Amino acid sequence: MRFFDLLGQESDLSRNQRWGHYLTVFFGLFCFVIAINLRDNILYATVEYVNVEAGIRVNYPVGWLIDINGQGYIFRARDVSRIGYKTTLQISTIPLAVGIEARNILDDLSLFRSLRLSNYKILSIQPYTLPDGESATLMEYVFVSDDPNPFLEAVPIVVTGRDILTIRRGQAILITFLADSQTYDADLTIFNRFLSSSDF
Amino acid sequence: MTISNPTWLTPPTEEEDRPIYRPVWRSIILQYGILLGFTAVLFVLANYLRLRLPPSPLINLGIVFLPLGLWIWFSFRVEQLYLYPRRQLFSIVIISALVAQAVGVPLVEDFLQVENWLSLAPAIDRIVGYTFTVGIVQEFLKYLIVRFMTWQDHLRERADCIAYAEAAALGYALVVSLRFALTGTPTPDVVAAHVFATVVVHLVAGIVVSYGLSESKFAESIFLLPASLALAALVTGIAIPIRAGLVNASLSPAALEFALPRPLFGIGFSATLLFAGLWGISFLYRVAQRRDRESRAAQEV
Repeated sequence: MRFFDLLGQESDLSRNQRWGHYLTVFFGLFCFVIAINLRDNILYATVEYVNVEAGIRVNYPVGWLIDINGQGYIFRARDVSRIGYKTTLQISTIPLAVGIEARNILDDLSLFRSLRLSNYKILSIQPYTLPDGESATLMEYVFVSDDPNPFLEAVPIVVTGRDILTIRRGQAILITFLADSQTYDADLTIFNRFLSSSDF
Repeated sequence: MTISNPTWLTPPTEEEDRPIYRPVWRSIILQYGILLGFTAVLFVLANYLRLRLPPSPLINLGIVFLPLGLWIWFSFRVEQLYLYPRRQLFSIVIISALVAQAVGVPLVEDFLQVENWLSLAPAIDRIVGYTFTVGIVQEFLKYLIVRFMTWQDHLRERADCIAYAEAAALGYALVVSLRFALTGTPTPDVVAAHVFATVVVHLVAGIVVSYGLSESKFAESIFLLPASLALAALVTGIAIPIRAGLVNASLSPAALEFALPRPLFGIGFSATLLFAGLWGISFLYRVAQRRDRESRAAQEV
């Protein structure tokens, strides 16, 4: 007796029994493919947002809270169903003066953030190529997000951020992604899908 | 004339007076009846008599292993008293638990990410979603385990399918319950209700598949096996969202005014599923066994 008889070669299966098992295995695998399809259709479903004035067209995840009236950005979407830090996608535009380069803008941003954000630290600055082939600059950083209300007794959260800066039509476009450091790697796929489905 | 190679008749022994196979329904009713009683007692103690046991990993572990303990006492131990015990039972419990931990749970939680997209979906979407994800993954894996570990030599009568399906259900449910009990510090009455619900869903769905397996083995049916897998997945897909909907508090004023603690609905639902499911499947088994007897009688005539 074998412990496993995977191919049923030692058994005396009748034709009906053999086809019954084939059908069952096929049915199980077919349902699993449907499950993957269901997951993709719901989990990765997106909504389009177009801003003609700013010249952007983006697809952000369904169910995320969109904000287009904030100060300092023209588009922001947050996953409000998250417990803890709300994963954020954000686009802002910065007017460029003559002689200003991407590195100057990122340094200026870092100076500004180091005053506002607790324990702000830059992890890396490196060249980046956007999905459409345009060159850009990528900056990764971390900071600690703390709830301003002390009575909530919340533990501070380490947040990892990613800025992608590209210069188009005489203005800098800053695409920002912010997520809890513990889920950052998993959430980065959302940002990559967002980036590849956007036009600037 | 000399006699060579005489044929000896074996005298009857006490062994042959013993029943051949252990009946399974009685021990199943006994085990899960006791489990239901235990869950109900903990619930009454915690919610009506205010004797809430403190959250303790040790107590929670004891509750998680209670279904397995009951099975060892009422099924596995008794099995050895019969002339032809089912020898693969314990192997199936262990393999089922290992497969759940290594394949089933990572597939559902990490790959399909069910909690990220199904927990907030509308009711019908949740039933369909849980059927195609959790239901299919769990029941298909348990089917594969029972099929490949028992088909060749260990399915001698229809009740063998039930016994092995129960063992697979217990092994798989053990892993799911352990993950719940060891995440955070839930109180024992909550763990007991969750363990009961998990074990019941796995048992009922597993026995549905066992019926399809027995029909394939003993009646050589083609379609009942995949149909039973579909039905078992649907049972799981219906049970998970309905129980969650009953247990979780609603924000409507009417629900807040309702006097009964909501876990009671969950326990009641699981108990109904258990007894209705077992009754329905035992009816199908009785019909199949009667059909087998009639078929044998017709052949003898």
